[in-house]
Amino acid sequence: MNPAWLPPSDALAVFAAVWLMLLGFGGRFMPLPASVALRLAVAAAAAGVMLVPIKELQLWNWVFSYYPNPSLPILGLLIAQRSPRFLGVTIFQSADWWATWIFGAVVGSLVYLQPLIFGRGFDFHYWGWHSNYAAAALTLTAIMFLARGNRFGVLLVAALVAFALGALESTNCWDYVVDPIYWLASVVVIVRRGAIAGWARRQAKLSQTAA
Amino acid sequence: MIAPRTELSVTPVLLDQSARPTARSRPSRLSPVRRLAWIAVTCIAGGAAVKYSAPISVNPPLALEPASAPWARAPQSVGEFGKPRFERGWVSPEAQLAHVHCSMVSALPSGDLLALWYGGSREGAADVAVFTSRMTAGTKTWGPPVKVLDRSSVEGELGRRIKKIGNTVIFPDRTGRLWMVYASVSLGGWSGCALNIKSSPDAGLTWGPSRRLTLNAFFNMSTLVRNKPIYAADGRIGLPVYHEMATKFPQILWFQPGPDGTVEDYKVRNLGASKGLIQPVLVALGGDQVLMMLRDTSSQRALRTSLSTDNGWTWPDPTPISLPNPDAPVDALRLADGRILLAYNHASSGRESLGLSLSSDEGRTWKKHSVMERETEKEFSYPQLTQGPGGMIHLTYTWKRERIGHIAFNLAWLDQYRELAGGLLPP
Repeated sequence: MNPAWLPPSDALAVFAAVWLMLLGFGGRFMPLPASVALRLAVAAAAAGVMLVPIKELQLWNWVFSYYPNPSLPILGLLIAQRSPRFLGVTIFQSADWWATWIFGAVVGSLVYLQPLIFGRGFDFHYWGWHSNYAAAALTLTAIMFLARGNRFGVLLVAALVAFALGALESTNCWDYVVDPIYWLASVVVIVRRGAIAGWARRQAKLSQTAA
Repeated sequence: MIAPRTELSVTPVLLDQSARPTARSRPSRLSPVRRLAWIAVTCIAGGAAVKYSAPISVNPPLALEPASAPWARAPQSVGEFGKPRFERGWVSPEAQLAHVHCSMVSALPSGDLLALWYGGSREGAADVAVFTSRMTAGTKTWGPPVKVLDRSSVEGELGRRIKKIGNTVIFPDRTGRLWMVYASVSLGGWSGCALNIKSSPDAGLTWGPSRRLTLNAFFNMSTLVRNKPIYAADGRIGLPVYHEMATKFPQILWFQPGPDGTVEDYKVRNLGASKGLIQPVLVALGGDQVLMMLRDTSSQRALRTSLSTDNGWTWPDPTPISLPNPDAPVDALRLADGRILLAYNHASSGRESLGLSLSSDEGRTWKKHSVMERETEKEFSYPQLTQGPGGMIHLTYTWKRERIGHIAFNLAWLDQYRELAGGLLPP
C-alpha cells in the first residue's frame, strides 16, 4: 500500500493525530492574531516534540503502542478544531459539531458496549469485517449527512476512502469511523452540554418562579 | 475558559472559541452545488470500496479437513502398529530457566516435531522469551532450545512498546508453511493482550516479520490464544482464541493465508453467548461437525462442550459435561478410529493430576483412561496433543513450571495400557 520510502499509513495517521493534539496545546500560548511565521514555528515545534525519544521510543511511537487506530473522524475534528487558529478558517459550524459528537457517542456505545448490552451472541464488531456491506452502509450514511449539508459527511467520506485503501492497521470498518478516544470525548461533550443546558433551564425556571 | 451556555445549538466545548473572531467563517451548511459534488465523490469512493475490498470468507466453510493437520495420516485401525509403545522424556532442558510454561507441539509435514514454549524469570516478566525445539523424524530426542521471540525482538518487528509476551501457538497450513500466533501486551496484564502473526517458509528454521492483528475494537486489547486450529477445505484456518477483559468468552479467528507468508484476510467471531469460558479447543469430527471444549473459569468448575454443525461457523451455548475442570486448559485430538482423546486435569480444583480420557461417541460421554502425572501441591498443566505421521501421539505439558514434559504413545498402548506397568498410576 505504501511506497517503501514512506512510513506506513497507520503510523502516519497516529503521528498526525498526536501532532494535532499537541498543536492545540501549543496554540493556547499563541497571541491572536498570530503571524504565519509563529504559526509555522509552533507547528514545527509540535512535530519536533513528537520525535523526542523516551526510553528508546519516540513520543508518537509510544502513542502508537496504545492507540494504533485513530479514526478518520477524530483526525477530521482535530483539524477542524485547529483550523481557526492556525489556518484562519472555521470549517465546522454548530450543526457539524453536533453531528460529530452524536455520531461518535452512538456508534461508539454500540460497538464498545455491545457485549455488555446485547450479549456476545449479537456481534456488532463482526459486521465491520463484511467489507461490502460496511462500505455500502458507510456510503449511505455519508450521503445522508451530505444531503443535509452537514460537513461531518465529509469525514465519513474520508473514512470510506481510508477503509478502501486499508490505510489503518485495522481491517475492520468500525475502526475507521470510531475509536475509543473519539467515543469517550463524544460522550463527555454530550453529557457536559446536557448538564449545562439542564442547569440553565433550571435556573431560568427558578428566576421565573422568583419573579 | 468556556462560559456555560443556555442553548444546545452552540459550538461544543472543544472548539477553540478564542480564535473564532479572526477566522473566515464559512456558510453553516454546504451549498447545494457542493452537496451534489460531495455526494458524487461519496458514490465513487463507495463504489470503489465495494469493488476493491475483497469480500472473501464471509460465509461458513463448506467443509473442513478431516484431521487437525491436513497431512497427518494416522493409522487406519486400532492396534495397527501392534506393539504398545510408551516413552517419556523432556522437551526443555533441566534448569533452563526459572519458569517455563505453555507448551505447544506440532507435527510437521517433514515428519519432524516442533515444540514451543515460553520461559523467563517468572510468568509475565519482561525477560520472558519463546523457545522452540525440534525432534527430527526418526529420532527420539529433542534438540537444544532456540530462542525465536523475546520482548525486544517483538518491539523491533512491531514498531511499538511491548511490555511482555506470552501464549504462543504454531501450526502448519496446507502448503506446509508454518505459522506462529503469539500474544503480546503493551499495557496491563494478560487481559491487555493483542495477537500477532508471523510465518516460516522452512518449518521453523527462520521466521518472517510479525504483523499485529486488530481483533478487538477497544484499543485492540484482550484477545488471547492457546490451542491449535481447524482447517477449512478452501484454505482458511480457524484458530480458537478468547477474550478476557470485562467478560470472558471464546472466539474464533478465521484467516486466509496468502502468498509468501502474508495474511490475505482475517476476521474474528464470537462463539456462543456464555460467560467465563476461555481457551477453546476445536476438534473437527467430519460431516460438518466441530466439537468445542472449554476451560471453565466460573464457580461451576465443569468442562463445557458445544457442537457446531456448520464447520465451526455458529455454535450453540456450551453445556457442562461429566468431567470436572479446575479452571485449567485442556487439549483434545481426534484419533483415526473416530475416538476423541482428551488431556486434562481431572479435578475441580488444583492442577496436581494430569490425565487422559477417551470418548467413543463424539464427546457426549467420556471414559477416564490414565493418569500421566500426579503429585500433591505440584502443577502439571497446559497439555498439548498432536499425532505424528507415524501414528505416535505426542503429549507435551508444563511440569511443575520447571520443565516441559513429553510423553509419546501409540494407539496400541491406548488400548492395552492396563497391562503395562510403566510406572503409570491407575485412573
